[in-house]
Amino acid sequence: MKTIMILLVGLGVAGVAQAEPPAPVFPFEWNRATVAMIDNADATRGAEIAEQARCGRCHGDEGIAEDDYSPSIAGQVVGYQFKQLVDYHTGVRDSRDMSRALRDLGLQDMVDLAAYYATLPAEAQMSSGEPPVLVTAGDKSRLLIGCNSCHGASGEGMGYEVPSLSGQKINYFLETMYAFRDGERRNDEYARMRYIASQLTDQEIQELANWYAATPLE
Amino acid sequence: MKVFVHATWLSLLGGLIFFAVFAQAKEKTQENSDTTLLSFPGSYMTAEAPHGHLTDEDWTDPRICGQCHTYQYEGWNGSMHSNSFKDPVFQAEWAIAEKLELGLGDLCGACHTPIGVATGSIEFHPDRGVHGEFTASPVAEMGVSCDVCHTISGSNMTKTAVLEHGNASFVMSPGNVKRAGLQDAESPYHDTQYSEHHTKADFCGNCHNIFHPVNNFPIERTYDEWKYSIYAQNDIQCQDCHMMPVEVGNMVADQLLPPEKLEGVDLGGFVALGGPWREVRHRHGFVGGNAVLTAAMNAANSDNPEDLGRGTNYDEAIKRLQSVASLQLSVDKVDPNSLHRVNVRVTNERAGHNLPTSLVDVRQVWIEVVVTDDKGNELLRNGTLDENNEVPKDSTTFGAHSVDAEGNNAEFPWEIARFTDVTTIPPKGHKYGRYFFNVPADVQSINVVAKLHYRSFSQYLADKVLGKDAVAVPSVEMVVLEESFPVGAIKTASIAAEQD
Repeated sequence: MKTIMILLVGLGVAGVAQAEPPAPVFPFEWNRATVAMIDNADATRGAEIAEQARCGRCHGDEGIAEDDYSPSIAGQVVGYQFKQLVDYHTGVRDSRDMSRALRDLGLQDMVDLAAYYATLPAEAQMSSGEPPVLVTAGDKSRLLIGCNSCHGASGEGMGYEVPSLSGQKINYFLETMYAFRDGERRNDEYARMRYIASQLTDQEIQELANWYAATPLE
Repeated sequence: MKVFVHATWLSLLGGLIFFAVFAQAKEKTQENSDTTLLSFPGSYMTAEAPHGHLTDEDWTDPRICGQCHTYQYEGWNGSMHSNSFKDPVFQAEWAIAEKLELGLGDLCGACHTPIGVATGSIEFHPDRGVHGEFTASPVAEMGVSCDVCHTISGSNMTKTAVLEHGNASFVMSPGNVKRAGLQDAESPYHDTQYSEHHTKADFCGNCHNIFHPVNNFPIERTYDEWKYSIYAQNDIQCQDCHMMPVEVGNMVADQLLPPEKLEGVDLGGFVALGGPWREVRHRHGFVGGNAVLTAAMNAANSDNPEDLGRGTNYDEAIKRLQSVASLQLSVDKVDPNSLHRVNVRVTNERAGHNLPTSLVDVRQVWIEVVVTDDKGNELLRNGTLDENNEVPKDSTTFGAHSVDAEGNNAEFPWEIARFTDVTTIPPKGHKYGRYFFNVPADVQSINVVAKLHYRSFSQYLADKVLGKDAVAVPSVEMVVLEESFPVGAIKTASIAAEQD
């Protein structure tokens, strides 16, 4: 089956055509099968799908976005990225562009795509010096633990679920945090990020965006 | 309702004894140059204090823990563990004891708010509420929270008066090391340490076994009941049922296998944000039968960390109550004329301890049975709550009757010297309710409806501790069984049936 699909991709069939239409995509669920799918994802196939689906138009050929409002996805955690793709596909996360881009992809396509982008090097983090206290220690009076407890000492993400933030585009970071804070984005499990974002001031969000950000585009 | 005139006298006498034994300051034992071991007489809890004393800062707010261990937090929040300090019935009984100057503070508090006891932050407000009210620092008021259990580093079981777990026989070692049952856990936020203790019933027994601090009578013996049960014989621990969804706990009880050995059950999940997938993930609601308080202390907005999970514990408690026991019915003819007997067999199918357990003289499990004939006439009714929302005296109840040293009814735990009868049902055991009734000559068949009911406490106790009419104590219908019996097929009672 894998061979057939790769061949079809090679023929340039629109939307990564397959011998059979992809199985329906249901709302994302963390379970053993999902984890196994992530563990066994095929990055090589994902690269071919990325090319066919023309992901690079927004996210850059190497997964580094070419504008400040689209996310860079190079080096992103596979499980997190896979969940986002499924959430876009099922409408749990709202984006007309992403929904359209993923319309003809199946689950295997999406996990392979995520695996491919995870192999690419993330953009270097611009910041240096001392990170904000919110990154290292949080603020227990607001029940905030340090961002690095979950996102890693260098913002590299963690495990299956926690995204990499390092080298992320500033405007995308800001918009994401505002969307969590305003409840427009709701695909975070247990409303974790909605709570955290709701506790932060605009200035604090800006400081975090600056800390994790890549060099802004001219 | 009876008035127990002598109770105050006995309580005062008990108070003097308590005072003599326990009215002493917190003891400090210098363990080494850096750590002081604090003890809290009355209880067997000890706590290691790196700086000679402990403050709230030594423990982590569970809402912090919940940001990475959200599945566990969701289970814990709204559970009886989370409400162990705020529980209004506990508060009232503790307040009554406090006003009697029994010196019970550290004994009760060590299991209901270990942090409050360890930090000395508990305050009594005698003028609040019906009997008074206790407050403590915010983290202490969160009861048996994450950091209470996960900083426990050992047991003081060998130091107890009965050489058994109980009366808060644990050692607390607050700090950055969190202990649990995973051997390969790593965390970017805190240090981790494997603790076999956390995987065993012994751990739970430190609080779920309570004996009288003066006469050593076992007031609550949930752990003991388990220890000598078929569950313990099969290495089924408390955690195997009470840290699993009810459906899985039922399978554990039915097959007497620990969850990880069950076939066809997916128990996996993330136990920490960013961590690896684990084949077994434990719930932290520790749901038992207390549906009354879990319902009363519910909240619904799960987007708010204060409320996450609060709606689930009530449902779990109901499910657990409704799957723990079974009923069987039989009808005998007792004499050649019209006298018959209905036998209701109640089997403790799935509790690894007695049914009921804990405060068995307070919990109420009873049979309600109604027999009607084929014309709709009621031939027998027993166990239906009366107009005062009480279980009638002639009902078949499963529990215990507690008395003080003089043989008078004991209303409060500190008064108990002995049980005069114990009718709790042991694990995998059964007991009968037997009821006699006459069948009129022209009746062709009879219909029997039997129900098993549960509630946490009587209306009398609720009125006494919470105030008259403050709450109508709800009951949970655990099992219902209805069967019809053709009168002609009913056999005369046999000796074998009598002995069953």
